[in-house]
Amino acid sequence: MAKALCIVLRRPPYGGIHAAEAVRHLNGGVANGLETTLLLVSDGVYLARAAQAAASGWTSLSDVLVQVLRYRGRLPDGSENQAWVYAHGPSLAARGLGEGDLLSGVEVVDDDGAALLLAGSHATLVY
Amino acid sequence: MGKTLTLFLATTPYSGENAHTALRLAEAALAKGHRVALFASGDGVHAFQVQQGAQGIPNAEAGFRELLERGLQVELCGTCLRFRGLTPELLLPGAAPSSLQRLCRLVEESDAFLTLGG
Repeated sequence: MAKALCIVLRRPPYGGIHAAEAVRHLNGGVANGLETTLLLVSDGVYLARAAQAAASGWTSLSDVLVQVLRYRGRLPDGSENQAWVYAHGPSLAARGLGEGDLLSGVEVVDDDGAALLLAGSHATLVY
Repeated sequence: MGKTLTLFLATTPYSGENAHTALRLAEAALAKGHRVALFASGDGVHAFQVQQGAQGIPNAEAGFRELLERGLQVELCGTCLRFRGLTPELLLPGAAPSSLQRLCRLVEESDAFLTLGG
């Protein structure tokens, strides 16, 4: 059975390197046979906002996240693997965001859902 | 039987206490006979530079140098090293440039995995 990695992102994109690192590790986990989940909480939910137009010289993290959501890897048993991205509902609501503001493929979870994701993971990376 | 603990360090050595916490946890786990790996990522790679002159606070270079000699396995994110211009001669001997692929293997091999980040 594949090991599960949950990446928790608490920080917004562009103000620091945390969001870019979270996305990079999400991609790496999927590509290397881990069931990998990205859980966006607090300001991390801004990463999932659609249509980010980054300034010249900066990578648009929404564009990168779209590519990662499309990527398909393999688990050790040969079955298909993909990245799962969840946005914490209460964090979105506190910031005036709703599901309609998010990239396609990002699912909204409540507190219970977030707790289940974390409890079901073998390892957690926190950014 | 000893277990495998992996520490993931992602902050600079002197911006807070994460590097010192990692040192203390690693030292304690090694003393109990556990296998301990430390994967440094992002700004965490700075903890493994040589010629650190920290005084009056725990010196990360001195601490990690000693633990490397006692069997601590240290791997440094290769991409993060390149971003920061940290070439091999600037790093503690035994602290090996590594990869996301190796990090994923450590996740699989570890009984416990702890993030020490910002």
